[in-house]
Amino acid sequence: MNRRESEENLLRAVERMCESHSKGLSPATADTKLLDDWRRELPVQGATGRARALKCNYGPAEN
Amino acid sequence: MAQPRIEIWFELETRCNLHCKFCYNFWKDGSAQAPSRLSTAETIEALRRLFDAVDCQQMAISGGEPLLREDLYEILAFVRSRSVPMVLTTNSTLLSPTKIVELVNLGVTTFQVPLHSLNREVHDYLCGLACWEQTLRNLISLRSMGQNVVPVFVATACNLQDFPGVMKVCSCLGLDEIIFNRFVPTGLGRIYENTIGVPDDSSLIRALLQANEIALGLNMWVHLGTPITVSGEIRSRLNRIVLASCPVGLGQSRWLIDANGNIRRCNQSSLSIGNLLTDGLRILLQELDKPRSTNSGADQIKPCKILSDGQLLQLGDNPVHAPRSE
Repeated sequence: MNRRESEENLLRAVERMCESHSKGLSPATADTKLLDDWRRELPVQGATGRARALKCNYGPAEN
Repeated sequence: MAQPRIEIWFELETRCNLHCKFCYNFWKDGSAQAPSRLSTAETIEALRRLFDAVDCQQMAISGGEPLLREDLYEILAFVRSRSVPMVLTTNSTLLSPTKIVELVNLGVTTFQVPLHSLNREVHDYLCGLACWEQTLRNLISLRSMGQNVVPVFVATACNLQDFPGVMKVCSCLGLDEIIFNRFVPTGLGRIYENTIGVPDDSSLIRALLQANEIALGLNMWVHLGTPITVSGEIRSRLNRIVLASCPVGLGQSRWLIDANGNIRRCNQSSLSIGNLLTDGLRILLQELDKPRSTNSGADQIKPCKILSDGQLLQLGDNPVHAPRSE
């Protein structure tokens, strides 16, 4: 499966998951597993990048 | 002498391809003209003067939709040449895998992308365009490509209940931080405030307490982009919520620049302390040079006050106004 097809499958799984959560239901096991497997392969988000993103809001309450 | 450290929110583009009902751009309620736009050369000159005078820790590139700006890459390249990390705040609808690579190569370190509901109809209604599927698609692409992504949720009365579900789906996408912005009715939001509703403080606090529990379970963090006043007791329970303060408060180092080079304190307010290409930089440096306790910038703009029923009493330089019907 190429990347495009893989991402299409992920998208449909996320859509079904959204629908389940909207109805207060648990997502299908197959969809959860698909996303779990995909997520495990993802690079970890860079902590520095995240912190920089978030600081660019209004700043901490302590200021 | 060390240069003052600041962070910049750069509203580079006034146009947008969405029509978000909560949009805070102050001119969108028809009370003011959108800021005019400096040329590419003028924009770069304005940034050059700024970067020569201050230590800019980071720059959020925002709008409008910044990807609509034709000379975006030239401007990003200049910012990158000054080693300033960039966050791109985009509705994501104009992203593609090719564009993501180009933006990252130009120095974008993080993408902030809105996701307002698990429900397609609610998200699309709030955004004024069918874009929910495209948003999910781009979140997946960004994460598959290893990019830093921070989803942004704007909490109105019509989607507040969706926040827990949005957190759960974001967690499944490997996103462990999310920005929660209370809806502040300015700009287009002022026109739609009765339609989409301004959540009152008690609803927001209930939502945050619930979000805190979910965040604990999913190992997530929720960052408030706009301030919500909470008591000390509540604050002690929100150990997964990073609270925010008002940008016009004392000692803030976050400043906004608009497409015309005007320097402002607050996204929601049109009031400027000056323009980067005229005398604005001098005034900014004077402001930054003042001790925190005597920082007078806040005298010019008063922070918003939102009543417990969600009615906006006062915001920035706007006089007290009652909610306006659509």
